[in-house]
Amino acid sequence: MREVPCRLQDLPNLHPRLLWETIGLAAAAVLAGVGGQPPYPFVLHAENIPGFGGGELMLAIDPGPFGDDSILRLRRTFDLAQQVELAAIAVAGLALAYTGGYEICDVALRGSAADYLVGDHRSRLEIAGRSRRADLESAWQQKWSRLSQVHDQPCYVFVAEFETLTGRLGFA
Amino acid sequence: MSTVSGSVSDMLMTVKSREVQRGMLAEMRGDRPSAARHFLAAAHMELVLAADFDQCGDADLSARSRLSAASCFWRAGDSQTARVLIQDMLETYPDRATTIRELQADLERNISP
Repeated sequence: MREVPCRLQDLPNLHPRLLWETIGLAAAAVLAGVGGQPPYPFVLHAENIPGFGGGELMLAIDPGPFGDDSILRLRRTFDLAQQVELAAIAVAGLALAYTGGYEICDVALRGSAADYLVGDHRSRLEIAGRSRRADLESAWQQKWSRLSQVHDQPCYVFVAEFETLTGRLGFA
Repeated sequence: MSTVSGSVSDMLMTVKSREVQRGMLAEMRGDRPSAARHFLAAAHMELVLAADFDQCGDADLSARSRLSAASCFWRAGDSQTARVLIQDMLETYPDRATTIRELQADLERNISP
């Protein structure tokens, strides 16, 4: 499996149109909660990504210079489900950048069944984060069927679990 | 970041996206005054962008910006302005009525005015 070193602090450069401070901090908080030492090994299963194809990739995620105080403040501000949701956005940003070199360029319209828009073609992206590995498959099925079968426009789906640090990125 | 494509400011689009994000994060942490400020800012920027897209002849992006403006006004607590925009859109873009009504239903169901 190919290992790709990456840093949460690079997100603002990889996706310069969006704000990443809180999202990156949430990812650092969630990854720290999993245990182990950084860089955190996140296994990504990619499927049919334009310009990349499919396969497994290990994102070796350096959480960066976030201090304990900042992490504590974030944990007091957002509940665990929200932290995991934000962490999934951060990892989706890394996954898109390090597979196909894609940029998340905007927030999707509310009610459009997507969270963000990706690349020049503004493909829809839906992201889900789960704290338990057992919930990954059901989250994938739910998001995938909602986004890929309901609409006829291209879309990305990314789901991540933060128990064993795995995720799935697909394009349809 | 300060480049301008056609007559649409890339910087304005970026700032608008970030204001929507700031509104969403404020919404998540239950800070309604902050969410209202950021969504209002985003709503007004979307209206400027919609007019700029119209000027460029990009009807798709113009409609999307107007719809987003309505959504942002609603999330800022100004459902009255949002409803006026939605009504205008239903008259201007009858071919997009399904999308517009879906957004309205979502806002009515999930966001208290």
